[in-house]
Amino acid sequence: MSDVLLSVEDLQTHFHTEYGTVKAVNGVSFEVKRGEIMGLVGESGSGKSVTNLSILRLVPTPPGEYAGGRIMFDGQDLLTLPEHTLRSYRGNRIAMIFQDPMTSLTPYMRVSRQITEVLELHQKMTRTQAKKRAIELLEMVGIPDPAGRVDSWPHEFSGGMRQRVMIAMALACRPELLLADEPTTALDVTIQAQILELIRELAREHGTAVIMVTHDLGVVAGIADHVSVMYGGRIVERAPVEPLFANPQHPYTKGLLASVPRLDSRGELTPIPGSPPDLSDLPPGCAFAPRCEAVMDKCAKQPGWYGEPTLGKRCWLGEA
Amino acid sequence: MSDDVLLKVEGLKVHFPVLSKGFFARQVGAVKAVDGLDLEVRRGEVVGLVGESGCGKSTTGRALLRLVPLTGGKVVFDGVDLGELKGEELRKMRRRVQIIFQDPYASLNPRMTVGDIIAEPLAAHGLVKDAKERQTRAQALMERCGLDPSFVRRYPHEFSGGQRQRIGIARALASDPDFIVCDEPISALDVSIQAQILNLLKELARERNLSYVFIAHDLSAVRHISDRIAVMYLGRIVETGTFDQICDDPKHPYTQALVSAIPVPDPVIERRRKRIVLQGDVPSPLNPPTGCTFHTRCPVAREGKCQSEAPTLRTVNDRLVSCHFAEEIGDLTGRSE
Amino acid sequence: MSEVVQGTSLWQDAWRRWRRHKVSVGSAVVLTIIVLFCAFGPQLVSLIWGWTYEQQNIALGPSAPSLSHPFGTDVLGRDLMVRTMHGGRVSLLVAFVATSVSLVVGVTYGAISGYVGGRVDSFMMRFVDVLMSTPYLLLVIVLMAVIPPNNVSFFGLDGSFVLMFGALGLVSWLVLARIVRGQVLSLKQKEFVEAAHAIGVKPRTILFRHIVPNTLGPVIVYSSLTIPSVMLSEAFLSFLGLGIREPQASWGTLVNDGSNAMVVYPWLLVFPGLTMALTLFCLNFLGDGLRDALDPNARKS
Repeated sequence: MSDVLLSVEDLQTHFHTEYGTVKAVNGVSFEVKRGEIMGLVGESGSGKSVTNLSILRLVPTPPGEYAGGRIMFDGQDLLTLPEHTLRSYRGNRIAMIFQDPMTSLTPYMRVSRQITEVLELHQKMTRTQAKKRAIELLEMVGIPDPAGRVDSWPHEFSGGMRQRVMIAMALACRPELLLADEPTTALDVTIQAQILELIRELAREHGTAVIMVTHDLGVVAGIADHVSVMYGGRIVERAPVEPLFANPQHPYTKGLLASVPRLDSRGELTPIPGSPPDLSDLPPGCAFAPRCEAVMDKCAKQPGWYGEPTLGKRCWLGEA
Repeated sequence: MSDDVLLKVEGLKVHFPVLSKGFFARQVGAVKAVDGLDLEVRRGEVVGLVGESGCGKSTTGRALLRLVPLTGGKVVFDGVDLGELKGEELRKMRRRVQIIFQDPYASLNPRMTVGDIIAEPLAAHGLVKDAKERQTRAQALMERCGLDPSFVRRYPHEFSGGQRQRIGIARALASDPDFIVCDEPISALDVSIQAQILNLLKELARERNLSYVFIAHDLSAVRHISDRIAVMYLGRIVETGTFDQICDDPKHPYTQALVSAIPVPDPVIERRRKRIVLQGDVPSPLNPPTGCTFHTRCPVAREGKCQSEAPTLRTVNDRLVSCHFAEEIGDLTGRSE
Repeated sequence: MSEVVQGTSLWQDAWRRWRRHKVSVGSAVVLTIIVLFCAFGPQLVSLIWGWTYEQQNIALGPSAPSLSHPFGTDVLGRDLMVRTMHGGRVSLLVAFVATSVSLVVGVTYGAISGYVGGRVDSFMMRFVDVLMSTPYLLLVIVLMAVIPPNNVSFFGLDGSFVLMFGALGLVSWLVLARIVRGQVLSLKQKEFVEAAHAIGVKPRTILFRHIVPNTLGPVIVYSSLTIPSVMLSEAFLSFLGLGIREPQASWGTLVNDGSNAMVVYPWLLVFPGLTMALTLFCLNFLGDGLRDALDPNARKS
């Protein structure tokens, strides 16, 4: 369980727009081990979703550009892999779940067909085998009466059920890595609880590594083993989940935890002042400096990484 | 907070007709978005209205302002039955009841300056006749809501999401209302911005003795601002009580499930917590279940009474619960108390 | 209030974006030149050479372009440059008037239909459908037959103009009304309109302050594309002999005449044809540029 499955090294993903270059991902490094669930936390515009998309090279180029870095998956650099090899990985060894279950299923194809398509393509199954497997998958993700519902149309499923179908599709080929981009944000809390439970179970049973992109600290606390916090296109803090929440190191993580309303307390909220940065106009130094309580003169320069690769922060405070 | 009731809702029903297609459309059914809702808001009180999507909480908020037609029941605001008002009378009443919307991008007219947007209530009700004076008032409101008043001539698209929500709040305050419906005002905002807006709303309520109905799908946000919480399910209120009663000791099985499903940003607590995972989805309000509308998903529903008889809100342990067996079911997560 | 920061409205923003669209700006410049050429050209020509658009010189007959007749002359010895200018006046006027009519009628009609909604909307839109499905050429021919053109005059204009305006005006607002209605229907659901209701703004103010200004983007784009289509319709009607009559001229009639004599006297087709084609090109590019500038999807949020 300890071997590294995915290792992202100094990833740079930029977008060239008419307003200038947007450095959406600006030097991101992290590792994910087999069977591990990593939470990638950040606000909108922090670069977390683009990081996720970059792993499967799904960022459209142009306007996007992979400006640097490596994404090593099982010993191969995904950024330099030929397109056809990468395509054989997508949905097969690496699968993805998107935020909006309402738009990520094709409305004009039966659910059965959408699942069997993946199986026929990657696993070279016959139609009948694939159909049988599709029913198994739907059962696994907890859809009642899977044999009866497999031939339904996407619009006949509710949001939570569609997200289950998406997960069934993502798991069809027993991927080694599952990229989940805010999989529960569009869902209600009681449904969210069902889906998170499901992802957790699947990771445990199949040894699937999961990268869970989310803005919800509660979700991360419940599901992740390791957490990376992103801000302004960079990872600003990494830690296993307990120390991160018990003893956050980076001022941004601290601020975030102090500003989130919690069900189990009614203490005063301390908001972080200001707004998240504009990625096309980042300050030369630390992107959080304009909002930071502990800002120093040094913060005008980009801080380095302090601590272990898996437990540390990008902040001048770590220097001392 | 005083004891006098500012807003009283009795048996509120809002049904949206479902029409057949064509020129001579006939009604073929109705979406029962709100179906028999009772609620009281006292002067200076903040009532949190919580529920999942499709439970009718936003429709309720709009019905309180009569932005949607009422199918049945009464909304009495400060002694005036809003359902009886027509045209001009209703328009004039809108000075005293305001709304803050969820989406700060969609709720501001992109072609108007911020000053004009904030001053619009003043103009619409003829409160301030002089256009210059209105801009000055708008600037004062901007300042109070944490915006730079020199931006009064700017346009909404030049502001961030959190700032736009402040503009929406300033507009709601302009006509000096007594009561504001906050329709998920923070759920479209970035995590680090939510607390700013929540704190601002809280301060304003205290400062101006405002009453809110604060609508949210997230109990944790509501807890920070509300004096009382009402939980909705399929167009009805299933439980109301103080925040402590609802969040720490919920009685209705749905409230219990909702509270247990909300993630807490603390891995140690998360690991210890026991979740009640509800089966299935919320039934369609087009065709709600008979009896107790929750019985199809209720982990402790019993044969007979739950299917046939709709429970009413009744007092259990100092709060109102709408469940036949509220006294007997206890704590479903099995926590020992 | 001296330190107040001026904001950039969406219009100013669109203007800035449009100015970066070189082809579109170039087209606008060329169009302005063509308009000026048609508007003031005839006076200049009569000052310099003394020709007018109806002045014949049978003795001269059709002659090739020369210094005194830069575009040449037609069969009756009329100066083709003046006639092209005059034809431009007619064509541009027809296009401009028809488009303005379609703007006023279409926007008002569509806005009311969409805003009021329900039965009224159904009724108003069915009426549009009826007009749209009426064969419009037939309608024009019937109109011509019923109203003898010579008996009608309109602000001193010839009867054929009035008919032309009537015929084009009748059809050109239909699509616009539909576009505006669609826009209004979706804007009506927008939260800022609901917000205006909640504030207590009067319904008429809501329609004209909150809804209509937000439909103008697509309306402007569509109008810039209506002008060329109206010009083409005018040319088509005149080509069929249903529009402008001699000695009046429009680009349509000039091209028609020119195409008859194309083999022998090519300049008769080339000059009016090129002028018209250039105008249409420019209008289309202008419309493209406006669409790119006003398209809200292109903006950075």
